[in-house]
Amino acid sequence: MYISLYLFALLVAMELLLSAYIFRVKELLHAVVLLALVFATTSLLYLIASQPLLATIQLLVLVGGISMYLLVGTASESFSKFKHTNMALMLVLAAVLFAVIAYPVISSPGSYASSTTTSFSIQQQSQFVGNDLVIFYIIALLLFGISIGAIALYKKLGGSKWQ
Amino acid sequence: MAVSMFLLFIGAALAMFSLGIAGIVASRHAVIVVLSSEIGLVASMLLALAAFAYYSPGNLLALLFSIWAIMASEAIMLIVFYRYLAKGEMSLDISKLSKYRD
Repeated sequence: MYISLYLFALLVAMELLLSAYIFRVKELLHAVVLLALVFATTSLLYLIASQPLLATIQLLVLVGGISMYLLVGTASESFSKFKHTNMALMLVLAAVLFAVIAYPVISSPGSYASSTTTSFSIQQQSQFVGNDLVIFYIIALLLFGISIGAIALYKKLGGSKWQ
Repeated sequence: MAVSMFLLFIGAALAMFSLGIAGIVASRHAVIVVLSSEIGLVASMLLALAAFAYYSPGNLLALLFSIWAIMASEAIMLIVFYRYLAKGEMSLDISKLSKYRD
């Protein structure tokens, strides 16, 4: 349970950092790569929630499909000429919004803890990690790496028009 | 454990959702705004997953497929719009989009 909790905390911190960093980068291509990593991290969170099928579909649809489409679409002419995000405003807004919408949950945690099903356990995770899911992950990561490499090569060869 | 995993999942999803909405409000770049909405949709999926995992009200897959379809449509719309603006060498600053009305 504790391993699961630490892993969960690490993944959530990573996901929030990656999401926040999307608004910092000037290259749209980098922003899209960061978004793809957010999708992949979410898929790992699905694994912690003992939902291997959803995690696999998430990888295939979001990382393999949507992210690739976004990557190819923004591979050229992707430089932002202006400072696009007011980071201070965004962080303050995010904190206020989180406080407002999370308050009802935080103020009465007991009503959410009394659910009918069991909590996420480490035993459930170890059952499917030993199956074919690891292969799916390796394939998805491989395809993702190949796509990123292809775009990097394309840019290096001067195939894109930089603004 | 004082705090259940369910509450932690809800907290993570709400934090993600807040970040996405704040990004939509605070950003002026058309592409970044759409990417922010994608973050909001990811958060909604996480929240749905947590709720379905704990309360088991039915099949989650249908809901997730709907959200995935919305995300894919957004991505397609974004790329078409982006390529159109980039081809015409127009600015992607949404505060200037009203100039392209005619």
